[in-house]
Amino acid sequence: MKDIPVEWFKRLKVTCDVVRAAIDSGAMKLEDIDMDVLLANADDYTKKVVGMLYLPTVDAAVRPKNRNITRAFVDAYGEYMAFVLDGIEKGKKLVYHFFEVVPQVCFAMDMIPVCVETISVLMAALYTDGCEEEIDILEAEGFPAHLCSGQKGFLGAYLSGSIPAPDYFLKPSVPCDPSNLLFQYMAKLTGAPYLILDAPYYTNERAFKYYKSEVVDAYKKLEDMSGNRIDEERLRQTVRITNEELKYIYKLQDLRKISPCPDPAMHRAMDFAMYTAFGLSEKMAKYFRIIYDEAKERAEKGLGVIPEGMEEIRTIWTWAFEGYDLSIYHWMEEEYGATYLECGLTILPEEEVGLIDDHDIDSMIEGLTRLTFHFPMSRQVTSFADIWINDFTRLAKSHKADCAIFAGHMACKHGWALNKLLSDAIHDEAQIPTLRFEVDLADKRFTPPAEVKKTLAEFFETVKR
Amino acid sequence: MEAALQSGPLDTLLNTSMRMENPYVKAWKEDGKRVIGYICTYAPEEIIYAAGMLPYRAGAAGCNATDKADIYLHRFNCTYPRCLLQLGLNGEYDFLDGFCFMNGCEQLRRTYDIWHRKVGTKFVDMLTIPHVISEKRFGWYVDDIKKFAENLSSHFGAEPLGEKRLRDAIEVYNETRRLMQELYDLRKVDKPPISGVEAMKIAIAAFTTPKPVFNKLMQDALKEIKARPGIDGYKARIMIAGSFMDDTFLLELIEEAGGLVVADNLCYGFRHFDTLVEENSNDPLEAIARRYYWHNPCPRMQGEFDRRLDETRAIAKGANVDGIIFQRIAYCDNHGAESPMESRFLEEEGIPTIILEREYMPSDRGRLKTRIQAFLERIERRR
Repeated sequence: MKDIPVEWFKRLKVTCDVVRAAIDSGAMKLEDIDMDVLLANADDYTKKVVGMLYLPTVDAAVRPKNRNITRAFVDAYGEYMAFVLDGIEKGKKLVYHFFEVVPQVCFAMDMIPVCVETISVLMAALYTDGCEEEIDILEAEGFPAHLCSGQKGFLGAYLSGSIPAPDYFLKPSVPCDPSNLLFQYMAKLTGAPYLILDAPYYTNERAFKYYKSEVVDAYKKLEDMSGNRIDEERLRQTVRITNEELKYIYKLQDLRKISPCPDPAMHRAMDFAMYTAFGLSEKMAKYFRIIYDEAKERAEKGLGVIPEGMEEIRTIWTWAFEGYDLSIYHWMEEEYGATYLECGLTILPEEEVGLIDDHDIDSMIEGLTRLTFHFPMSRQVTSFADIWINDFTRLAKSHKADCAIFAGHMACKHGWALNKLLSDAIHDEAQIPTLRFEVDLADKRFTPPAEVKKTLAEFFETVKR
Repeated sequence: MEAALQSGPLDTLLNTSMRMENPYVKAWKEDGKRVIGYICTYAPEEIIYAAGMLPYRAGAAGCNATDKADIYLHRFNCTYPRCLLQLGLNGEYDFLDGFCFMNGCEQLRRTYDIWHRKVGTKFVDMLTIPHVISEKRFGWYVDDIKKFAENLSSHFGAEPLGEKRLRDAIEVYNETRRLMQELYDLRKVDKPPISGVEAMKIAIAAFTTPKPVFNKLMQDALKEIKARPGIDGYKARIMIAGSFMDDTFLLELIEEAGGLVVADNLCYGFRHFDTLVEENSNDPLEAIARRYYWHNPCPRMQGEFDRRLDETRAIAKGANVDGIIFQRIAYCDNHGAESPMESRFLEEEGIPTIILEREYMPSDRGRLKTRIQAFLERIERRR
């Protein structure tokens, strides 16, 4: 492992351990964490990582409504990072993939799938400097700032020696040009084969059949190139865990229709991360079960995640979340009673995805194809604007939203080209306003957290009136 | 640099007007025939032409404000779709009977969603093409072209495309390609008889004039061009590549600074004219699709970077260029990312390159001029 650059993965693993220890120490807010005790037996690297942590996010993570969810997350994601580090050390095949490529088949092929965008977003959320130095390294090569930080940060980490070259790249040809081009550049630089799932423009059965054949062919090619085969039992195991996760995700989506919303917003970025490690172990399902159990208990008691007595402002986030300061969600719940019902990066429509039939390899691949076909962003962005518009106008009504928030990631040109049609449709169909503002998913310098708060605060004040 | 003489057919081609100001488009409409706009070099013009309609490549040259389009498209969207939409909202494309959009890039495909809701064009269709080039995926594109042809026929009550009409269309469009290739060949010599600005004006005519008319004018214009004295005294032979470009603003800046643009790798230039449709195929529709699908690819095509780099290198070598200017429109993702990628590897091979960011509409003259001058000086210092 000495010669293999894995600092980013190691940092995330250590961070999971530190946050778990902080929660287990009984701390209920940042000030409660006794760093001297926490780091009493820590090595220098761990101390260095603690010094890098973005403290507002840590503070929100240990708060009573978030701590059990965060604890489950660091358990599961820490295990995943250990799996990544162990696999790299053992020389297993490393696959860097786009977030819409679900990882179950790679697990079943005894490979190590790592989602490029998840890692960049987690770096942004967890550390004060995020992946900003790495973004700058890439931009210094002449790449424009308006490409996606989800890939820019990761590619910069490769260029700076913080992550290794993979054995393969795996990506659908959607949803966007920036990711397509930057994956291609990574493949060119590393020399690793780049497998592309060509995603058709439509969402009908003709398109689904085409896409399924793309998925089947890509994994066949991966088998041929690597010599690794899909282990049917291992695949079934990951699919069963995925189905468990999906059941809780669907139930949660339903629970969030209740007013006051019983589900805290902060974990939405964690959900996104967990989607990209779907099926690895029971800890993944446990994460969603804990969120569900806590939300259900609150709902049964008629409680929400906002202070009792405060009027609720129910928000749907019609595009991305703000990914670099997760404390903002805690802040908006506490200060404005603003809850977060759904967003474009975690929505999974049960009626389209359902559960995966684990009968045989073909049925499992078909179910996983359906999952990736309707994955957040894949479903809304790939095709005509109607799908995105219809999904969110329906949600605005079914969830009785008071307002919509279009936090538009700067790189998502397709999203910005739709923002007016979408907000107009939501206004016409659900009679609610939309706040539209600019963010960069993984670069807080673009719209600093204080500016995000100011923008949201002004909007919430207006909605209240 | 000697001023080029202008007269006759060449003069006509060099002064072609756009949109309804174009007398040939006006005449076409006055004949009761239909005009179908398209935006992407993957849109098979022959299919539209064989249906008895005029395929018109919809640029946005002349647009200098995007106030109406900016209601729908954001500042993060590149100014080409914003200008195009602005012209649509201004009514400048009211002469179009239909519009064929494509999923070429994220921003133009979304322009479809706005156009069909907000601009009054009666027939607006989406033709899609895979992002990966292979025999397996080719079938999708063929099927989509057939669907587009059916939509066109059924909407306008036109006859379904017959083999003869497709073959006739292939002949006409291949003739345009041959003529344009001949023009490109003339620019490869030490003293080209035509400037880059003039070549672009001819390309504009090729995209906006009915091809039979263009072909006739071009045959005669080529004779005029060949009879001209060659251009000499320029500082450097320049190739231009990158984002969509359908005006001469940047080329004028380059040539005013002493460069001579002798080649390009543009979708509104060489890439559009570089490969012929197979004329003896048993299946002319498939032959048309094959030519468009497999030709020199746009950066939106995945897994083709090495081929694109090879194409750029080959064009540069063929025209003996001294340097390559990659121009990218701000917020154009495909060329925004492609330009530093190609630049990096070409520079490693000793080919000077520069990346210029610009807006679609002419602007920022001073900055661009300074950077172009610096690039030409860099080339001169190498000699």
